[in-house]
Amino acid sequence: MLQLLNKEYHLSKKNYFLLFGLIIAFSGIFAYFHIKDIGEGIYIFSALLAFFIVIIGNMVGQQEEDSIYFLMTLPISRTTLVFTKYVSVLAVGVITWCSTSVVLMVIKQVVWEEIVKNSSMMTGLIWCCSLLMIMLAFVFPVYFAWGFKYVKMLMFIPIVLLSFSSAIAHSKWIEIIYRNAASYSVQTILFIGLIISFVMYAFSFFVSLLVVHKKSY
Amino acid sequence: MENVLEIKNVSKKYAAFQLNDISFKLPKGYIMGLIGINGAGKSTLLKIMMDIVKKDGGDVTIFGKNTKTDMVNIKQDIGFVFDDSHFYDHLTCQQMKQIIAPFYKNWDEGIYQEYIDRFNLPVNKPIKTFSKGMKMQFNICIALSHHAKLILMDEPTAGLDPIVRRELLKLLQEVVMDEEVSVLFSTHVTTDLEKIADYITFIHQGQVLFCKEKDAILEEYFLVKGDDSLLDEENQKAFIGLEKSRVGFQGLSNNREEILFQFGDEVLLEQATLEDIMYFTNQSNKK
Repeated sequence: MLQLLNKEYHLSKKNYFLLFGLIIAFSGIFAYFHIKDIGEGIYIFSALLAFFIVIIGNMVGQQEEDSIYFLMTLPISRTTLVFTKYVSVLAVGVITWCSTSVVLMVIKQVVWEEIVKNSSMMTGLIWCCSLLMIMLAFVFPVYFAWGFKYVKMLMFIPIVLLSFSSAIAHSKWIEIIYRNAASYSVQTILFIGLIISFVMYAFSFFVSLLVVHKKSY
Repeated sequence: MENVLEIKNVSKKYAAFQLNDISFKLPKGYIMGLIGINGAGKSTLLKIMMDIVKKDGGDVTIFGKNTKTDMVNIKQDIGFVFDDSHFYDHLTCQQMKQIIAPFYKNWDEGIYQEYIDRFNLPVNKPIKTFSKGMKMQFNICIALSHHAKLILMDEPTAGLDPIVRRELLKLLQEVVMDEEVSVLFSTHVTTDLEKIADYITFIHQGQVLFCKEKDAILEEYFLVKGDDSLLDEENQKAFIGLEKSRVGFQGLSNNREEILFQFGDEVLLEQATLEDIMYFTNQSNKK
């Protein structure tokens, strides 16, 4: 498994360092000009973008799909292949989360305790991680079953859903959820969301495992 | 004789074709050629051996271990060469080696460097800039750098120029010199096999037509050439495949007694090549 993580590192490092470098560079510019009041949204958005470029570009991209034949000749089991993919994505997620936090600390010139206390910062980052895990819980089984071509098609789903966003937002179900959620704090809801995303991610892993074990390449 | 590879009743069904009850053995220290026309199932069979394709039935045993239960350990001692490059071709040889080497317990940096130097491969250029021959050479470098005991090659000489092809064949002969390494080599360029193979397995229409020593095959099959007027309905049955032209007929047979009985010394008998055997067998099945 470590060898596969090494492989993911070799393939992703260039993109990741480039994007992280850009975040640092922009932060530096903002810090230099004492622009503190820029909000956390841009950082969270940058982290989300970096994460997706790394994941989609390197881990479930066309090139990775083409190299599956070579990977299958290496002395690794199919289980390890799937497991490493899920773990490495989580690792990139955690690294992104940590690096974004560090950048936020520097740019806002605050200490860790303040970041934890600052609910908008923390909740934003947690929300970001949960959302990514839920999305990847759908992306991975599709990638393992049908390949990158179908992952691209999967990306149309959020766009289609956006067309119906007004109808969804005013639906009875959303109203019920909103009414029930109102009695809980934002942190509690996000914590529940994080657990749900972990459960979905774990379930997705088992689905992918089943697919890969049955599949002929 | 110790067998490194044993295929027993392997089957795989696709919509377009199927492998039926494939069985053969590869003894240790020999080169076996897997021949058959395009689409005969050679690549599928090699992929089944590597668990890239899931078989429907049968058993594959490599180094005495079943691939169903011991595939990861088995792969430590296998070098696999595809007909095309499936590496990350935006990376250089050096970067690709850094990814691959940690997977193998017996990775030998010295041997790897030796092959890189021998083939004169540029280590700092992306693989995508390599010619087909260079990509194949890099494939071979990787396959031979971890002291593999079994080399599986899927059409390695397809599309290569004659010089690279000859170099590759020479290298394979060197590799099996120590009698610890065995090679299974799928191809439809049968002249390559006539140079280096010890055994030939012929797959035709999803079945093993024969798996024998090359010399025995070339002794058994022969070409018969003669005038069209010698042929009648009865004596045509002695041929595996037959072709008529303006200058006469030529056919493939493995029944020397019957041919001599039917035609006496009125026909010319010539040694058949593997290509002749493939060609006439395929022709006969088309009818």
